[in-house]
This record gives sequence, C-alpha cells and structure tokens, in this order.
Amino acid sequence: MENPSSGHVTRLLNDWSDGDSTALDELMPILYDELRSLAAHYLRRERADHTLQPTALVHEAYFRLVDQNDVHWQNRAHFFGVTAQMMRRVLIDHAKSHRRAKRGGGIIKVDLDQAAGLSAEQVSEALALDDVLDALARIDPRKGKIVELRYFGGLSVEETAEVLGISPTTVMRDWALAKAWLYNEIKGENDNG
Amino acid sequence: MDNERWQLIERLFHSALERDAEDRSAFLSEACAGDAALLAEVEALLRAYDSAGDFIEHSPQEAAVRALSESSDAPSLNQQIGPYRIVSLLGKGGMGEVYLAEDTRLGRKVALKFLPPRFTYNTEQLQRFEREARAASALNHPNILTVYDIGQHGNTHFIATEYIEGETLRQRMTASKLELKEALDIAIQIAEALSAALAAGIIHRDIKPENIMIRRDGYVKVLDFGLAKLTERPDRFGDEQALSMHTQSRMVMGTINYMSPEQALSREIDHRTDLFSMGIVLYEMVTGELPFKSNSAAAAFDALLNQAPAPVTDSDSTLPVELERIMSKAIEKDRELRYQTASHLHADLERLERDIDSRMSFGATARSRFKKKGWGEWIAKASFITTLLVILAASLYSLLRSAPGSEPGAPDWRNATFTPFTNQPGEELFPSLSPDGRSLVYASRAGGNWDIYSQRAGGQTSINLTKDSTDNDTHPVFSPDGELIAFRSDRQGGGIFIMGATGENVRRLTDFGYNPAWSPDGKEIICAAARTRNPANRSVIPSRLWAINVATGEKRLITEGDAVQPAWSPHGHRIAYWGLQKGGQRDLWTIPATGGEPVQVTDDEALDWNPAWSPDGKYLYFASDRSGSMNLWRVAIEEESGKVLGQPEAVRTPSSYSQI
Repeated sequence: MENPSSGHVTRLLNDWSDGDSTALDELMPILYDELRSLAAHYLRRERADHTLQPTALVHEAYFRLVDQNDVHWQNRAHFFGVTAQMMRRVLIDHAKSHRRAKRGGGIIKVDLDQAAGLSAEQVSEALALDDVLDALARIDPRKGKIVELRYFGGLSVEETAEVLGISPTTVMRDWALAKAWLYNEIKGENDNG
Repeated sequence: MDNERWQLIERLFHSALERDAEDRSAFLSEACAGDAALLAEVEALLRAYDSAGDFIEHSPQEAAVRALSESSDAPSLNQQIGPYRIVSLLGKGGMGEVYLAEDTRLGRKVALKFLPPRFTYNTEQLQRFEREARAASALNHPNILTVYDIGQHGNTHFIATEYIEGETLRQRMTASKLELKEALDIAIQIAEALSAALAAGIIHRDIKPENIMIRRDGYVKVLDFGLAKLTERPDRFGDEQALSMHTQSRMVMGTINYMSPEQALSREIDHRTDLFSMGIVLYEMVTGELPFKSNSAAAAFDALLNQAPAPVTDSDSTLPVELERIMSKAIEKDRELRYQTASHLHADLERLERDIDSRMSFGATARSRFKKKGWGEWIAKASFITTLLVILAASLYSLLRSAPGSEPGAPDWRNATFTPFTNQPGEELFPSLSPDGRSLVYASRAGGNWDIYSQRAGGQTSINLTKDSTDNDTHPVFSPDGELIAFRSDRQGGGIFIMGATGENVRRLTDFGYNPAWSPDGKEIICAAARTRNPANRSVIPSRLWAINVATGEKRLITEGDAVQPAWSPHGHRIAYWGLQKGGQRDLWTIPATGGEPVQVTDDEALDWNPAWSPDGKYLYFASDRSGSMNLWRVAIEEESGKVLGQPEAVRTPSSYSQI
C-alpha cells in the first residue's frame, strides 16, 4: 500500500530541488521514521531467513515515500542522495557514541560495537572518511556525491550511475580517483600525526 | 585547488593508470614538464591507489540498518533503565512516549519521556536538546514541571521529570466548560510560570492546552519548557514560503492554532511569543472556541496574520469587559503592542480576579464557590489577608477612639466597605499604617526587587523609599511616633534596618531577623530569627524572638521555643506570636515582654498565624484555616496575663475569603 504522505514527500523533494533548503529539514525526520521502521522490520525478517539486503531497504523506502506517478526523474536522485546523507549521519553518530561509550562517557553502557555489528576497523574507517569527504566534495562535488551514495547509501555502481544520470564507466573512473585522493588524505594525516 | 589544475591531475592520473607500472614514471616526468609539485601530487595519488586495497569498498550499510533499528527500542514494563523501573505507559504525543516509572534509588515516582529518535539522531540536535533540558532543569518554580534528569536508553534519549497526578488542560476543557474564575486561576498560574521562565531567559515556544497539567489540588504545571526547540526549523523565510510550508506540512496543522504570528512566519521569536500563545489558551478557556479557527491551515494562517478575533464578550455577554481588554492585549499581532512581560499580564489577571471577587461578595448571592485549595494559592492571597488586618486594625482603632470605654460586641463586618489603598501591577505585601492613619508603607516588587513604598492614605502616588538598594527590602513597620520605619533588608548580609519615614538616614540595627515589631514606647524592636513564607511547611528548625534596644543595639532573647511573626501588645505587656509544636501543630502564644513563661492562646489542629492586637489590647486578631479556608479570626484576651477569655470567633467581612 502506498504511503498516504507520498505526495507530501514528493513536494518536499521538489521544493528542495528548487532551492528551498528548509524542505530538507522537514524531509529528514519523515525519512528517518520510515527507514527506522523498515530497518526493524528487515531485521526481524533476517532472523527468520538469515538475509539482510540494506539496498533493498532504501528502495522500499523510496517506493513507499515517493509518489510513483511523479515525473521528475531528479526526485529519484534527490531521494537517494538524502537517504545516503541520512545513513551517513546515523552511522557517524553511532560510531561517535561508540567511541564515547568506550571512554566511559555513556550513562548506560551498552556494547554498541556488537550491537550494531560495526567492527573497530569500520568505525575508524567511517569516522576518518567523514572527516575528509566534505573536502573532496568541495573540490569535486560529483565525486563526493558518488562516494556518499556508494559508501553510505549502499548503492551499486549501476544504481549510482542511474541516480546521477551518468554512465557506470564514469562512476568507476570517478571512484578510482576519489578513493586514491581520500586514502592519501587520511594516510597523509596519519603520517603527520 | 583550482578546477583547471584538478582536471589536469585527473587526466594525468587516469592516463598513468592505463599504462603499465614501469612506464608510468617516464610518462609522468614528461607530461608534468618540470612542474615538480604536480608530479608529486599525481604520484602520491597513484601510490595511494595501489595501496588502498579494499578501503571504502565495503559499505557499512548493514551496520547503519542495525543502528537504525536499534533506535526503535521501546521500553517494556518492569524494565530497569538506569535507576528507573518502568511501571506503565502514561501517554503518547508528538514529542514521544511518556512512562510512569519508579526511581528505585529514592523510591519516588517519576515520569520518563522518551523522545522520538528522529529528533535526536544527529549529534547537533542532541546537544541542543541536552542544553535545553539542562536550562529547563534550572527552572525551580511550583508552576513549572521539575526536570530531574536526562538519560539514554540504547539510542533513545529520555527526560525524567516530576510525576503529576491530574489532567491536562485539554482534558479539563473537554470534560466541561470552565467557569471564569477557574479559567483566571489557571491563567494566573501559567503567567507565573512564564514570568519565572523569562527571568531565567527561557522561552517555552509551545504553550498549548496539551502542555498544561492541572494537579488534583488545583496546582497548574507547565510542561516541556524548551523542548519545542527540537522541532523548530532553523531558517527563516518570506511570508509566501512560510504559508506554503504550513499549508503543505502535515505536522503543522494541529499546532498552528496556538502559534504567534512571528512564529508562524518563522521569524526570530522572543519571550513575547509565549504570551500570545497563552492569550489563545485563555481565549479558548473562557469561550470554548479558538480565536483564529478555520477548516484549513491556509485559512487559519490567514486569520492569524490578518484578522481580528471576535471579542470574547460576543460569546458570553456576562464576561467582563476588562477580560476582553486583557485578551486583546495578549493576542495582539504586533508584539511591540502586546504585553511585554508575563508579570504585567499576571498583574492584570490578578486584578481582574480580585475585582470579580469583591463584586461578587457585595452582591446578594454570596455563592460558595471556593473549594479548599492548595497552599500556594492562598499564600498568594496572604497579601490580601494582611491588608485586611491593617484595614481592620485601623477601623477598630477609630471605632474605639470614637466610643471610649464602650465594649464593642462581636462586630458585624458585613456592612463594612473596602477601599483599595494601592492599585499597582504586582502584589503589595506587609502594609503598615502610620499612627495618625494618614500614610501607608508596604513592600512591592514593582521595581524589579522588593522595595518599600510609601503612600498617603487615599492618595494614588507611591514613593519608593528604598529604590537605591538592589537588595530586597520588606516587612516595613512605622514606629509608634510615626517618625521611623523599621524593616527587613537583605542588603549587607541581611538584617533589621531603620530609616526615617521618608526613607532618609538608613542604619543597620541587627545582622539577622525578620518581621520587626516596635514596643509601644518605641525603645525596642522585637524580631523573629526566621522568615515566614509558607506557614504550612515551615522549617522545623526553631526560630526565636529577640528584642533589640533601638538606641544601643543590645539584644535579649525572649523565647526558647519556636516563634515567628511577633506582635507587641498595645500597652507593652506581652508579645504575641505563633510557632510550631512538636506534633506539627501551628498555634498562637503570648509571652511577657520581659521574657518568662509563654501562655498558649490556641491549641488545636487549625493553622493559626499572623497575630495582631486590637488597639485596646482586648482582642488578638489572627489568620486561621479553622473553618476550612483561610480567614480572619479573633479571640478575647487579657493583655496583662495573656489569659484567654473565650473561644475564637470568626470575623465576618464582606470578602469572598471569609465565607465560613
């Protein structure tokens, strides 16, 4: 069944692409609620059949939230863009609270590491990437977007290409340089530090 | 980095990658043509590419999904979360679920409000929430829900607050129409809460009937101070955009009804937005309707910005015109023309309530509509009772003067009339008439802190005698010759001070004490060691009475047991006071002015306080709740021995507070 607010979400996406940055502030909580309830649903199902396909979750959210008769193809790109941003925030906040909890700052200690299935390497990688990704996006916005969509949004090369309206080859070329640049930034920082 | 150079790097990077590893170096040296920095940069990127391995190749999406789902943890009954044990679900609202819980450390009931994760999932917003909650927890006021703690359960954040047994104003209004008196009473308490919040620099932002609780004893509590900031959008827009935002958004529909125009337009807001919302709530309480009601959000938005609401007197012509004036000033669209502070609104509401009360009791139908109320309510009315005492004392005085030697029987005060002495915003407390009855001094907070004001009886202009002091000055009393005023001041560490009748020559008498009272010869002042704020829950630490020589400052201890609010008898024999007994009884006593054995005046469950002697010394007047509500009483007494000559009798006055 289609979500009753799909027209509303579509309108917000339109407003946002028309340059109304405040539409995003309203969109985020709606998207968050949707993803959260879907995530809970998916995890319950995972216990039953041992599969978890995060990408499918984002697609389902899109299907539920966005008016399928909407003719603006850009909305699709925007939707996945926002979702990737959302996932990025969730992950980064989660990783940060994991670090805080390790330092003993949490009120109620929970082993967040185990709870969310994030390994220590993933935590450092995600946090390090978050630090330098914005710098890349300032030099080359499209490469920044590609990394956000693929890494935080979980999209495949083909999906990323479709969302951005470019060819998969371009996505791969951009990805190669972006990856090298980001790795160099992080490694360089480590060398200096 | 400029775009051209970045494109050059990109081209060289990909061209080098297409070549075999051994050819790359030669290719780049040639292509960079002596630009060493460019060469170094591209080489660094190629090295990074070779050693990056599966860096960022595996999306942590699965972890993100788990993180998301975890944040949906709802507490289950009997679950222990930190020190709290979940007891039951109290309700769900836009700002999350509220549970009744028990703080197992302290064994007290608390309310836990779990915030929807969508308001706290990002760090910035979470920090904002924590800041707000911390600020709100600093608000210590009987009309503001107390915040005890903030905490976290998994990824869900919660606030622990005082637990209130009662109903929301919304539930109250749905149950039945509110009487004007009840509506005013609720509004006055909301205004008190807003006044305290303003003093602390906190704006509520979401005053509405759902955020106001009425406790079973009549106390009003305003909930969720500052929480609304979580849902607020940070940016500001033009009117057009704001309109489209409100009309399209599903979330705003329910709440636009109580928004101020500046809030609806997403303009910068200040404390005056709360006064507007409170005005709407008051309008709804007295009329049962919203002033800017409409079927669609767009129309409601238009009404809020452009239309004047129907006067409250349209819905009910018996409503006072003054209420309409107060209302329209509260819901004034231009905030510069609105009430500027909650205390101004509060003062106007108080005055309206008082005027309604006195009008009612002068009427033929003295309806008993006053239930036994919480302490706080009539503490606020203590000023009234104190005023009453003064008026009565003055009347008695002139009565006795005019008929020397005659024995006044139980006077019937129902034929008396009231004349207001003062008419300023805010409360006026501790009146003291000059011996010639021509002027009055009292304490008022009109100037921001408590100051002592002087006013001619029958005059309208008051003079602030202590305006130079930024500390509180209260409890003024004229000396028997009318030349001096003794008072309590918090200045210089606090104590009893003396000044001339027009505020000159202030000097310190003691470094302690409250409620000074002069001996009839003006040579000594008696005071209590402790202050009396709320007689019902006074501290159990005994307060003693001390007499201080006005000329030398020498002091002598008068009482051993607990004693406050002393009053010296007119011929100097005894001092009346009230105090706490061991079982918690609050009774009146007298003690010889030279010290010695106290004689008990009252000995029962009733709360007796504020003793005052009649000018002939034959009666002790006092405030007491012995009839159920707080009223004025008197008892015949022998001044010299303190012997009680009969039972306390009610002093019937034409006041709604004296229905017995």
